[in-house]
Amino acid sequence: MKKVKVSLAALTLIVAIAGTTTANTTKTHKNVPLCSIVDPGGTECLNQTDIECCEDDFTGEIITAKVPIENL
Amino acid sequence: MILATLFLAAFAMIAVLAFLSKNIHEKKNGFNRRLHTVLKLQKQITFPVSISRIIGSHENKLYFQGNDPYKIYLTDRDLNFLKIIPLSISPDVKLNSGVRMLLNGHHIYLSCRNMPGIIDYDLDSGTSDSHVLKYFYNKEAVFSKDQFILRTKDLKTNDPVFIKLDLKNENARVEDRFSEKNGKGSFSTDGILYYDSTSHLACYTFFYQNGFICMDTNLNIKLKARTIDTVTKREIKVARLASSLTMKEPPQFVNYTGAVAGGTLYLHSMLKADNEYSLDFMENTVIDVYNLINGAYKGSFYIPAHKGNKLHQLHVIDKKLYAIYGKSVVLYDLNITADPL
Repeated sequence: MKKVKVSLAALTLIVAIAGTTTANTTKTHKNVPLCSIVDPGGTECLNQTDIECCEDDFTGEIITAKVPIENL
Repeated sequence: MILATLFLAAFAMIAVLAFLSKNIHEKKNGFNRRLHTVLKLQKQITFPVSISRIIGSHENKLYFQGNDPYKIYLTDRDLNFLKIIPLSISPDVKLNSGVRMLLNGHHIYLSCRNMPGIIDYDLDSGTSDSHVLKYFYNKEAVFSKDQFILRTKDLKTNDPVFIKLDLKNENARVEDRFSEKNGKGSFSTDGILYYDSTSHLACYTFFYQNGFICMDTNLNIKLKARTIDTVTKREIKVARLASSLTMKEPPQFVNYTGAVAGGTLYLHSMLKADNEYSLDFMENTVIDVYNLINGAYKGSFYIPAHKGNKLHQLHVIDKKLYAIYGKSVVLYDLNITADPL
């Protein structure tokens, strides 16, 4: 019984560490802004930077990133 | 005993992760810089809105683009005054985004990438003339009255190419003969196009790969130069979403914004050199300087942050460097460097 408890405690600890690491990684990716074509909001694109972000495959229209590079 | 061992193992894992993380930040990039100085603020001006770019200079006047396509901001090269000039242009919803203003003499050209087209605005007469193009483009540079170099798509292969445009003959389309046609799309070779009126060269710097190229106004390649970093090319993964192409993940930059003046390229590098302190690199914007005629590296300097913000655009006229930090524009004197850049 004692061994089972210890194993469960160890498992919880490992899951907690793995969970924290994964959450941090996901958070980093979520902070990246999307450009307007793929952004469900779609209307706030400033299109003022020079960084190409999306391209309409049919017309060739290019949408650039929303924000200055220091915020990426 | 077992519990203690497990706890120790967990701490060991965290220590290993912290060590690996530290190693990533201090990764060597395999090159050194010849650092000259940190520029000193000479003068600054604050605008009522955020400035997106410097349009250009004519007769000691300096023109700025804000966030409104129907007005521009004017000062002199020493930033002594501020004046707002409204532009008498017919309202168009297409002008709300994607407009870049360029200056040639007393003409301001509003490059409307998402129209696509170019509006020629005469500052003297206050009149405008609209030129609608039949194709989209993503970079532009004006080199003479009504004469442009654009970066657009090859009509057959869809690869990015440079073309020459004359607004008086919009349908004539002269393509360059040096752009690679490899079907890889435009993201991987994304960058910035400049025109230097001293050397009469149009130069293009890359965001995700080493080097820059320069061409004359007849689209003949004149220079293929390497930058001091050792990154040959970053891999750009492209994703398709409905009828759009986009990048699968945020790309890693090699070089970002820059400016050309007097036959010199001032390029904002995104990579730390091995002989730089991390804190210096993080707190300042490092500019590498290159000769546009032979591609030689001339040295580097730092542009400091202003009120806690790093610059997002720069412009050089003669030996004066103008850095844009949101609503503030700061003037730095490039003559103060010990070895003139």
